[in-house]
Amino acid sequence: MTIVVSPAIPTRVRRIARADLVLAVLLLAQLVLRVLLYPRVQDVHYIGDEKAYVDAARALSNLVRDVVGPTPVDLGEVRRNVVASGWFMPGMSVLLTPLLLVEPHASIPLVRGYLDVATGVLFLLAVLDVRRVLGPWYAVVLAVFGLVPMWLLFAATAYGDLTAGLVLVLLMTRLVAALRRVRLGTLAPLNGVGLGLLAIAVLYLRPSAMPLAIGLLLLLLLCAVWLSRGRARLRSVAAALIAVAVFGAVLLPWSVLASQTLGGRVLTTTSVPLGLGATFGDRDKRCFGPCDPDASLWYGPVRYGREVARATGRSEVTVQQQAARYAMQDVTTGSYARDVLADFDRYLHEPAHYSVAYHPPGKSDDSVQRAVVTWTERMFRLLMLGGAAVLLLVRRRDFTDQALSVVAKVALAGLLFQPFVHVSGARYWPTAAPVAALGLAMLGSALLALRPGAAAPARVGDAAPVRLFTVLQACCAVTVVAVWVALHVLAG
Amino acid sequence: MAVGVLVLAVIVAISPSRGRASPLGIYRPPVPTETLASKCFPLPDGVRLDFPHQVRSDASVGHGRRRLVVQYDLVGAATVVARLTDALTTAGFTAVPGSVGGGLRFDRGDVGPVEATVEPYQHLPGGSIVRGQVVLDLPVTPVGSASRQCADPGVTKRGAGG
Repeated sequence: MTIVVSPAIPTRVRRIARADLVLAVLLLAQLVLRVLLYPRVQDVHYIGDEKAYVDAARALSNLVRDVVGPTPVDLGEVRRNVVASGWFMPGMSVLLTPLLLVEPHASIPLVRGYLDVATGVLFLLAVLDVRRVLGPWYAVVLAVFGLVPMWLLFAATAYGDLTAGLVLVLLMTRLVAALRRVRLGTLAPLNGVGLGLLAIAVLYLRPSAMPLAIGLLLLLLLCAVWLSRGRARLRSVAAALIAVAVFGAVLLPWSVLASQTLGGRVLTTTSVPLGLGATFGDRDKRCFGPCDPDASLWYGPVRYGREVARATGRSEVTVQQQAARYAMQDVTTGSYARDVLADFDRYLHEPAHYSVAYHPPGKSDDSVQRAVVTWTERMFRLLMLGGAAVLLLVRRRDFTDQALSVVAKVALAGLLFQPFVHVSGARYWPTAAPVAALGLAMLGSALLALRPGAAAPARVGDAAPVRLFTVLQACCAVTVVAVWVALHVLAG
Repeated sequence: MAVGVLVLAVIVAISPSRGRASPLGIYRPPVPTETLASKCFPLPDGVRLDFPHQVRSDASVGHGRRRLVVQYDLVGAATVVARLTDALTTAGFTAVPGSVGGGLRFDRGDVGPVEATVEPYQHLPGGSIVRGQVVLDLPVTPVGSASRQCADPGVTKRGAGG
């Protein structure tokens, strides 16, 4: 097929056509790579948290059967498998439930294939929405990142990190579109519903997304108050409050079920005190002394909490919280800073660490494995550059550039809150990676704007930049630098 | 969108006829049988701890002695001392004045000396459920049950530090 671009077509249209062609090629390349890499994942047994997500999906599918069928609802099964220890919100399990409704004994290759297709569709939706809201070249950069081999291997796993990252992109693009509407005074209640649903979807997929979800909803509320006037302001604020209400309403059933099951207050996850104790506390005090040596780092305090709860009738969640505080009594600012930096190191070091797990039998160190590691690490360096751009760039060119910059800053800063409270690892970056990819596109756009002959920045009208966003970006960039310097100074 | 909802409705409708999934429930640590109630390594005959507690470690420490660490909950050290003294004297032990390590010392002819040291934890968080520990120095106890759980360190707390 030959695509002929007539010289009569305006340059801008030609550029878009060229970008769309590149985008189509990249998406096709991703599809091919996905298919080629799938055999490395298909038979790999569920690892770690995946077991919990798949188990919860099994219980949820049974719950649906019980609700629509003749069998009584087994709430005990739901409590044991969906709430379990209260660590994981069931976003991934909900995603898997349709498959298990049709095939209750789905094999591992079937589950992994289903997840691969589901994340592929989600990626396509995210890319198309980026194209629609931010433009085709932003979509192209995101699609380039979609070729990171380790990311594609993760795409067939049941961890929620990668899926949360893709839904986060949708939340970001919808929020940028909503901020434009706020400025135009046309934000509608339905926009608020959509944003609330996307924000809560990200949270259900990764409870660690709570800071960013709250941050982005507050940003919407702030902009609704600040950027619109008169009657339009009332409409915008109402839509923002609807987003918050939807977010809270969908969170509530989980919080109530988890709190009732565990006999203590659970908002999103019980893993925060465990994470704090494991990351920053004295490991010999995590159970008011050492935990049982035959239990893992995570199981030990939970088993202990359950034993104390049995002896006292109190909540295991409360016991875990108190034990974590006890374990942290000797934490100093210096030790905390060192642990946070070590966490960042684990977060950013060895992005292809998990690749050792994904290979056909006997092929753990073949050329494909080495290529996965090499190309993941190379592309990851670019993503780190994109992440730095997200956090530090202050854009003043036009409203959409600014809105994206502010939204991306809140999103990434919210995600990077995790190393401050929880042990990090090579599994968490896929959530932040799409945001970092958009940061690369932002950086490219900012550099192109410096070229001689680049279009002049908008100065009037709805596309003109706003001071609020400039201030917010500058505050974020300064805070990031200050926190980073402070961590290094305190860590000595 | 409408097609998606329709497909989902069909899936839900046929789901009861497709059988039932079998969750394994393996990602939740089970609560092991209470250590002393397991009777694997019991306390001397007739001794029952009458305060909320959990055994944290149990070990033979040589010279025919056993070191049992039990955390106490919800009550203060004075209450634990009183209830422990009561439990041991009710079981036929006699309080012996002048312990070596500052603890409570008891004796019973068929068992020998037993010493208990009550150690409240320092710097506890406000409203702490767990308050401290009792370290019991006892004669070694042979395994008291043939149950398989007596080989489970989660139950016996044997092989544990502290």
